[in-house]
This record gives sequence, C-alpha cells and structure tokens, in this order.
Amino acid sequence: MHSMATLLRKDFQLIQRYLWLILIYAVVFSSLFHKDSQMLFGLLPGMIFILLNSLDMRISNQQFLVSLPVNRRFLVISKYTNSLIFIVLGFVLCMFINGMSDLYNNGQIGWNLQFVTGMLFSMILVVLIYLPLYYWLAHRGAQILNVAMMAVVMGGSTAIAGIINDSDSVELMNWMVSHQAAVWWFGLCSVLLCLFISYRISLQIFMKRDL
Amino acid sequence: MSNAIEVTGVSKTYKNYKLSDVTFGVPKGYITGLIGPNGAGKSTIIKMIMGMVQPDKGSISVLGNVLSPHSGDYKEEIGYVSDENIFYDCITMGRMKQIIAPFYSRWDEDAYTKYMTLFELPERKKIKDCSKGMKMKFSIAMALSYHPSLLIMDEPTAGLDPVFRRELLDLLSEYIMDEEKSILFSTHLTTDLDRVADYITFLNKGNLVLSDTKDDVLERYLLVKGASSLLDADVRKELVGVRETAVGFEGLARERKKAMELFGDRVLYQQPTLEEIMYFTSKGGNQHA
Repeated sequence: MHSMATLLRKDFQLIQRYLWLILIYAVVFSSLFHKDSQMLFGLLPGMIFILLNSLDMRISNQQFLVSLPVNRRFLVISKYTNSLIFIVLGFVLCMFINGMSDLYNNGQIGWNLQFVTGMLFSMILVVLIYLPLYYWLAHRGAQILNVAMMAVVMGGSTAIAGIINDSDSVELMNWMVSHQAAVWWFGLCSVLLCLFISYRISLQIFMKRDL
Repeated sequence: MSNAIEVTGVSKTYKNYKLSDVTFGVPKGYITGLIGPNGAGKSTIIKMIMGMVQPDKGSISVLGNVLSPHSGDYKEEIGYVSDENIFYDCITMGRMKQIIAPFYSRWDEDAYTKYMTLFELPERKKIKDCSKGMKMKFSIAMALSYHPSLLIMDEPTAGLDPVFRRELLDLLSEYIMDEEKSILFSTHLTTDLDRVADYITFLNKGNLVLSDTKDDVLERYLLVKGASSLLDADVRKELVGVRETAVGFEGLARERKKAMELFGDRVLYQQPTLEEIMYFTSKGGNQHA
C-alpha cells in the first residue's frame, strides 16, 4: 500500500509542471467561453491521462521504475489506479470549472449528469483499451498511440454528445432514465469486466518485457 | 564465504547476441569488477540482477532472494547506478530526490546532503541541463543515500573526469569497510579495477571467461614477448592471444608455469594488466601490428 501511495505521489509531482497548461485549457474551454462543454469534458481528462502516461513512456524511465523496490505487478496496478484517479480528478475539475462559469453566466449551475456520466464511462473504457496497447507498443509506438488516443477521445466525445442529443436517442435515454439502477449495474459490471481483462493483458505483457 | 549475488547457468538469446550459461558469484564484503569489451554482456547481466531483463534459463539470487518476475522488495537493499540517465530529466535533481526518497525506509537525508555537497550538485538544476558527469554523480549520490547493502554500478566511471574518478574509488573503498556491504562494478576501464577490485569476473561475447580474485587472475596469466621464429602451431595453442609485430610477438599465456616451461629463457616475461588480459582474450588468434 505504501508503494502505491508513493507511486501516486510520484505522478502528482511529475504532473505539477503541466498544472498551468491544464488550468488554462480548462478555463478556455469551459462554458465561460463555449456554449457546450464537449471540448472540456471530452478532452481535458484525456489530456491529463496522456500527459501522465507520456512521462513514463521512455524506456529509461521504465528502467527507473523497475529499479525501485516495487514489483512489476504493483507498477501495473498503480498505473491503472493512478490513471483512473487522474481521469476522475479531471472530470471533477471540469465539473468545478464549468459549474463556476455557469454560475457566473446564468446565476445557477446546470450540470448535465447524463452527459458527464456517459463521458466518464466512455473515457474509462478508452483508458482500459489504451493501457494494454501502452504496455505492448511501449516507447516504440508512444507517439502514434497518443495521437490515436486523442483522436479517439475527440471523436468519442463528439459521438457521445451526438447520441445524447439525437432525437432518435430520446426513447433510449428515457428508458435509461426509468431504469437507472439496471443501467448503473450494467455499466459498472461492464467496466469491471473490461478492467479485469485489460489489467490481465497489461500484466502479462509487462511481466515479460525486457527493458 | 557467502555470496551477495549468485548467477547460475544464466542464458539469454537476442536476435544478434547470446549470453551463454553464465555462472559466477559476487562475494559479500568485497568489490567485484565485471569486465569485458562492449557487447560482452555486462549490462545484460546487471539488468537481469535488477529485474529489468528476464533470463531465458538459469537463476539469479540476490542477498538470499531467488529472483522471479514477481520480485521487487529486494531492491530496497540495492543501490543501482545505471550507465545512462534513468531519471526523469524534465525535473530538477531536488524534485527527483523527493520522488525517490519515500521508496526507501532507510533514506538518510543527511547523507544525501553530504553527497550533493561533496559532488557539487545544485539541487535546483534540471537533470536534462546537467552534464553526463553530473548525472552520473547524482545517480551515485542517490544510490548511496539509503545505505544499501549492495551497490551495483554499470560503467559508473564513464564520463567522469580523472579527479572525480579517483575520489569515487576512494568513496567505494570507504563504503566497503563495512564487511556486510558488497559492490559489483562493471567497466571496461580496467585501471579503475586495478586500484580497488578484490574479485574479477570477465565476460567476452556472452561467455564467462573467468571469475576469481584479482590477485589469482593476475598471477595465473603471463605476458610473453619474443622473436616470431618461436611461434609454431604448438606454441600458438598455448597462448590465449598473440600480437605479432615487425620485430617479434607478444602473447598471453593462460598458465604461467606451463609457459615458463615451454619458453625457458628464450623470451621476456611480464606481468599482464587486466587490460592486457582483456585485450588478448577478446581478440584471440593472431593480431598484426
């Protein structure tokens, strides 16, 4: 547990230098300047996630991690845990900034919880696909993977916003609202299953990797 | 005498390179020099000990722990100095220390400050702005700041100026005063080992050539210099490597006694240095100058 906390601390220390970039992006793409918050919720958590993982992508930095008194399994677990923590923090930041700008513009906070939850779940799924690829391609495919990730995040956020706002989806949305518990359980179980599969694949790859 | 590291029958095959059935030990309480030309397998062995590379065959035990892909805790007792910078170079040395220190329960802030001052390293300088020597010094300072039982250093003196190289060797001699501590030190600058090493392990092209005390190694080999006319097939067979010049030859004999019986007083004998042993062994056969 101590190792996990120390690895999380390490990520916080490393990402500190990007804090201004993240905050500027968050403010510029908040509802203070944009009508919809798609660019904010769609891209900011993804950007934080990519920044976080880019820091450890170089083979020399992976050698550093493996030279620490932490076994490889913990390194993979911490990569997943920290990624999810940072994604959630990214969403919290988005909600906070958007809430504040809504309050400034309209005098009240108008969060679209369906949109935020949909984005969060899809972002988590993207992360669960990204991480095994990250371990598989390692430093060789780092840049390509990050560009592809941003494209998926951008395309994904537009697609989700489209689905939610589409008139054809109204029926589906209404059904989901009336069966919230079932939808939550289904979503949660799907994410957990994907998390397990994704983690096992990443672990399998990283345990055998020569650095 | 127990070993801090035991490497047993380790093999690893890459596309263009093979490490074959390497077995040696690093005795506790001593400095062991791992020597060999570039591509001999020194870094691969060190990376295996650090769990960065998995052997195809064989086993490695470090401070009593048999390594597996699940091992990790044993590194709390190891100070590792890589031949390249493995730290995050976009941050300062001070920030890097803040990242590393919490991983080690025996981290000693006073020792860290002492080494940073001794090595004249500014904490606020970004690692990417440091020279190769500074990066190496920082890596050494980090490795020594938690008092590890075992220091593993991959080419630590490469890129260092002669003054600091000598200071580092003094530092290592001081560190090894505690008989529970051990050092594995890979280098191709054998003069460093002439000064401080107790044991020598020599790798060449992925094979173990020898692993013994430095004194035994130096006593066993003999450098022979004589006229080319003495070189016939039988003589060549007795020599590990031969270098022929316009005026004669010099060769390295594997067994001192046998060489003296063979050549008698027809040649000049000389005590070879580690560098000469490495040179003749890695070049082998006939070399013309």
